[in-house]
Amino acid sequence: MFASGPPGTDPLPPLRLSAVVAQVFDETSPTALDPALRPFLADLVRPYGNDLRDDLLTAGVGHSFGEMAEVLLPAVVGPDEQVDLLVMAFAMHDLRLGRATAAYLSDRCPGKPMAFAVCDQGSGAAFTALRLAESYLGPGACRRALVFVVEQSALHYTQLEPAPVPDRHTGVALRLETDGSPVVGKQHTGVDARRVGGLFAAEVARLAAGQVDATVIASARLAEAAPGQADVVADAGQPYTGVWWELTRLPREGLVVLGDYEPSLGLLCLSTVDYTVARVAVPG
Amino acid sequence: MTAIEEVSAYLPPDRRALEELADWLGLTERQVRLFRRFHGLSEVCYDQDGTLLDLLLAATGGLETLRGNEHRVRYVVYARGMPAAVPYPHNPLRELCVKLGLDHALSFTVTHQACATGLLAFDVAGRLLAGDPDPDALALVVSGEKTFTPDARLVPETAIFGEGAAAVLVSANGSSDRLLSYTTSIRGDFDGRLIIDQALAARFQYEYPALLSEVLLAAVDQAGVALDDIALLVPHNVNAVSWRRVCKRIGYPVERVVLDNVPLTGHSFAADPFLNYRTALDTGRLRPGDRYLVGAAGLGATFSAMVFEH
Repeated sequence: MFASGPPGTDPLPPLRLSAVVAQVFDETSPTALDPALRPFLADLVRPYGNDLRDDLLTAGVGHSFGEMAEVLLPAVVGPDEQVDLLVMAFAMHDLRLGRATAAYLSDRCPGKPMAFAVCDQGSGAAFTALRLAESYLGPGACRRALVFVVEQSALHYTQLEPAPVPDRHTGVALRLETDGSPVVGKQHTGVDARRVGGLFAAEVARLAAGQVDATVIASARLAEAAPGQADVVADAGQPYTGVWWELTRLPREGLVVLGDYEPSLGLLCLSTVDYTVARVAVPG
Repeated sequence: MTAIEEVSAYLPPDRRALEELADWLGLTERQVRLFRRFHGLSEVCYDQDGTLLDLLLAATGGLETLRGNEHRVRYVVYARGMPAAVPYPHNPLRELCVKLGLDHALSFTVTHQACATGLLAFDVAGRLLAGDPDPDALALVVSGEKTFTPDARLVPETAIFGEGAAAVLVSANGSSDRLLSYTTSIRGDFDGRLIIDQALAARFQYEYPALLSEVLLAAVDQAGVALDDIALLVPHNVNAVSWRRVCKRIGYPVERVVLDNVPLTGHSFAADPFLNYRTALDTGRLRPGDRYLVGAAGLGATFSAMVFEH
């Protein structure tokens, strides 16, 4: 059971990354052919006028966040390593529409942690999940947290507003605790497309000050809005996991700056992982 | 210390008697009688023609403190019970922020704790405020949902969902309604759809009183007070009988549970604790210095409690 008093105002210890794993899932979840999917989707879209995609419903495409995260779980935490907090971040919804997946994963996770999900923030949700993990970690109830960033590619109805749809199913798991490489985050709201380039450049300069070997990872949308600033540009087909996916592919060296921009919210998010302080485990 | 600055509640005026809803909910005459006589339900409120945005706007529209203080609101957190409620990428929360002049705020939804998500959102808001350099910063927590699909209308033999909504202004340093403790227990072994899985529903019903009692007592203990010091219990509105069972189990007088809305509103997802807080306040049942216990449970399952000092 998670138990806490009111949050204190003393500075929190820095969030530290101790492991990160990622996987692209090529298969389709059996949930894609669950007869409950169509009626739920029909109810979901009815007030808004989207048309169901019979072709996708018949084909049975898509993946479930719970099934993807369950595969990542043993790769990021051992069976005897108690986890106190589990946060899932997503933008486009799951194939299992009604499932409290974070709660389900808690039952599969050592320590049966406090668990919840963050969404309705586009690519910002992953950064907010890290920020919230930091707010819970500390000397009290939480000493180890997992953040899952997930996306799946099936949208079984016509889209009425522009937004990226992933072209593959991807899950990333970040393990955070009191030992590891410090993670620092920053979120800017009210950032329109004209400001994003300058603000991103200024933030990268500030965050990477004094670091000769900083690597900047940007999402495809951020790289388009702020061209020429990233060393690594994440694949546009991974709009919500891309920067985190790239983090797992880089050498664990120097300072890594991750940036993403959610134009629908005017939200610029940055995070740094400082590998110069401590190395991160590479499970498996 | 995280505190409630103001709570606004919205209960749509369209109230339907259980008998009117029987066909829509797929209830037999016997089940309707059971809900009415045993569970203490009578009517459920719906916002038939309104959207989710309308619901949230109605709730926030009652916040007197918000007007003129929009610039102080740094965070807007939507507590949503249903993991998916609108088609992607439609974002009523963002629309709400724009309409309220809060588009400068960091807005997001927390979910996956079902109807216990309201307490989570409050705790999350408090944590963000505690880390904010501006001591005058505020957070807005909103909750309330549409009964758009069978899973969002009925918990078999337990509860009927309604469309009430609530808005809460939260501060880091307020003097009224200060948060003393928060406890939550996640029981993911209750993953599944109770509406089709009778065995799971039966096990949930059986274990529910003990699991909710456990977090309630733990919250009291964490707050450093005794159960006798708790002036009031502010519940979620699943039904009356489950609260009688919980009260009997923990030794708390059921007369001090705010059950006024159970017969009138239905179970308003994550909004119930805030709706019932408003009722307690409006009916003069909270006096300065009172400690009160708030309890909620969500399918999936999550059991949560908080203790506040008024």
